[in-house]
Order: sequence, then structure tokens, then C-alpha cells
Amino acid sequence: MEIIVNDYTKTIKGATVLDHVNLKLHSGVCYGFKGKNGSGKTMLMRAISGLINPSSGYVKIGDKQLGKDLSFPESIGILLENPAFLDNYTGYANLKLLADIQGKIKEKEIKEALSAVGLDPEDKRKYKKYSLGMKQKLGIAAAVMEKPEIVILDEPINAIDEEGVVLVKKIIFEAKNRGAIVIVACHDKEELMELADEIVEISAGKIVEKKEAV
Amino acid sequence: MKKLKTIIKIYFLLCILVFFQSFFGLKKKYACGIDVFVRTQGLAVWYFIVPISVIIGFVFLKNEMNYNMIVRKKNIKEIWLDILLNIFHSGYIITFLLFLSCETIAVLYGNFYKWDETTSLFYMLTRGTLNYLNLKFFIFMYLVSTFFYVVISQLLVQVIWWWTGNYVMGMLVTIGLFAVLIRNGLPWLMRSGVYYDIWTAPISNFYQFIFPILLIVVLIGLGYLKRKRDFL
Repeated sequence: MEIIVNDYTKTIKGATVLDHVNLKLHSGVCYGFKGKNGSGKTMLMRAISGLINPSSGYVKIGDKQLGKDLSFPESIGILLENPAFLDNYTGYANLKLLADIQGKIKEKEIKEALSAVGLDPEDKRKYKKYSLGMKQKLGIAAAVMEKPEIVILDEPINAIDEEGVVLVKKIIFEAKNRGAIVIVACHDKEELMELADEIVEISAGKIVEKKEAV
Repeated sequence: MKKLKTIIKIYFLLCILVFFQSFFGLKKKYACGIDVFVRTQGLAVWYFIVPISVIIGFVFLKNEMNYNMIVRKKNIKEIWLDILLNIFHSGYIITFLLFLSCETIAVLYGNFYKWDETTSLFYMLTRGTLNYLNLKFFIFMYLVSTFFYVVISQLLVQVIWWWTGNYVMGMLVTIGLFAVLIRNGLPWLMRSGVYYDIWTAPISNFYQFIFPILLIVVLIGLGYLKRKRDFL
């Protein structure tokens, strides 16, 4: 599968947040989005996931254009800035709620995803009682539990302890190895180099450089 | 189980609100149980039922319209349909809970019906007494008008959010609009509730049923008309 971002421009309230972005992303590759705060990394992730529509240009997922042939990619898992879950539900209940929308996976896969990020599937604590790191881990579990073809993770290792970082890296490599397109944004240069195969540098809504990670 | 707990919490919250609403609004020696129901209707709609509805709608939006949920939907129309289903579900749940809360507080007044006396609140407001209260009609009208208020106010907020992306603006516009319309006596908004006037000056089926249904259809259509562009 291939994602094509073609001459994509997005203007919000007069400000150009994405400026004529062109990008091709391929299966089985992990792309690292690099850039300062407000450079447009998250917006580009939102654009690829169909959460925003372009002022001009388009995003194609395979041969289907977002906003025209389909509203959202058919198989996608995302974690953006703040994980979005229900405060009064446990981690498992939150994932179950999401999994039930498409009905692709059952209890077993949900529990496996929770274990993979180092969370206890039987934990009865509500989400609001979770630490920052646990919330982040749950967000990653939600993004990968259905084994989507596109995995988008914005700052996935934020607030996560060392053991957790190892698990997250493992998850990202597994997703890549099964043929998913993985997009990761990370402030830590070294971590990004380790995770990504290609680095996409974004500045002021433009892609300024695309190179192989060394 | 979680939903039941939430419903029970809302019920108790409504009981407290209805209690204070009737406590401050009614002169106890004239009041009867039926007056408690009336106190949540008529002019009170804009600061009572409408805010309750839009706040519940806001909680739904916060919980159900997050990016994790959205990207798992098939398309934009499915999202609007989900919003509509939620509005109608909350419509009958809030209506029923409000009815139950009023019933609970009404019991505290001891005297359930006193509109046939010249010492009643009804007499004070209409200069007349009502010898026969059709209780079935009263309850039916209460449920129907409350349901319409809940659904229309939530729909209005969601349509504004759908078109502009701003929920707070939708809340303020809706509450403000209801306040202005009700205070200026727009026929349907003023008279459809179980207000004291309704017993002395019956209103037409158009304002009672057809107008609100048409309004609901138009608001639903406005959501389908616009393909929401951004979920920020």
C-alpha cells in the first residue's frame, strides 16, 4: 500500500498550517516526522488520518482519495498529542468500546495489546486514575490493537519509563515488519533515528528535508 | 451497569434542581404537586431544560467525538447519524428522568392537585379555577413538550458545532435564542409546555406537534447538508 500526499495545503483561520506538502509513504517503512513545536507534524498526521480536509491538494490511500472516495482510511490506528479516552472506564473497557465500532477484534486481541504495552488487562482502575505514562501506553495499545495498515504515533514515548520505551519500540518494529506504514513523531533525535527508516523534516508547514535515517 | 449508575446520578441531580426550582418559585401555601411540573416548563424552559440538555450534549461530544472514535467510523454521515441517535436517546431518557424527579418532589408537597381552589397558584395567575384536571392529558403534554425541548435544543447546538466547529458558541446561541424567543412569547415555545395558560387558552396542533417536528426535520437535514471538514 502507498499513501500519497499531493500538493496539500491547509489553512485554518487565515494561517497556513500545511503548505504545499508532497510526500509518498510505503508499506513496511517507519517514517520519523521531525520538527519544532507548531511546525505542522501533528497537522500532517491529522491530514493523513482524514481528520482534516485540505484547502487544496489531496491525500490518497492506495487508489482512494480521502474526502472524496472515503472519509477516513479503512485501516488506521492513531495516537495524537493527548490520548482520548473515557475517564470513568477501565483501560480494557475503553479499548473494548473502540474495538466494538468495527468489530474486527475480540477480547483476546484487546488483552494482548494491553499486555504488549505493559498494562495489566485485569486492572480495575479507571482511566482517570492512570498515570501519564499509563495513559500514553493505553493510547498506543488503542492504535495498534487492530493491527492496522497505517499506524500514526505522535510522541509515543512521552512520559513513558525506560521499560515501557523498550516495549513501544518493539511494537513499532512489529507493526513495520508486518507491512504497516508507520509514522512516528518524536522530539528526541536519537530515539527517532533508532525508530525510523526515513526522516521527514517539517518546518513552518513545509517539508524541508526527507532522508534516510542513519 | 455504568449507564445505570449515570442515569441514577442524573436523576438525583435533577431532583435537587427541581427541588430548588420549585422551592424558590412557588409560594408554598398555594402550591400543589402539579405546580412542580409547571415550574420546569413555560418561561423556565430556557434556564432549566435547555441548559440541562446542552450540557449533557456537551459531555456526549467530549466523550464520543474523540479522534479514536471518529477514525473508526465508516464515513462522515455515520458520525452525524450517531449524533442524531444519541440526541433522541437522551431526549427520552432526560424527559423520563425529569418527569420522575418532578413526581418525586411533587410528593413532598402533600397536596397533589389544588387548581380548583381560589387559593391556588393557578387562580393567582389566571384568575380562574379548574374544576377538572385531565391527568392523562397533563402527563402526555408534559412528556411531549419536554422531549421536543430536549431534542430541539441539542440538535441546534450540534448543528452549530457541525457547521462551525465551535460547541461553546452553539451552547450560548441556543440558550440565548430560547431565552429571547420564550420571553417574547413565540407561540410554540411559549405555549407548548404545561403552562398555566394552556388550560384557559388551548393551542393548535400545529404549534404543539407539527411545528416542532418540522423544526427537527430541518435541523437534521442541515447536518446532512454539510459535510463536516475538520475534526480538530
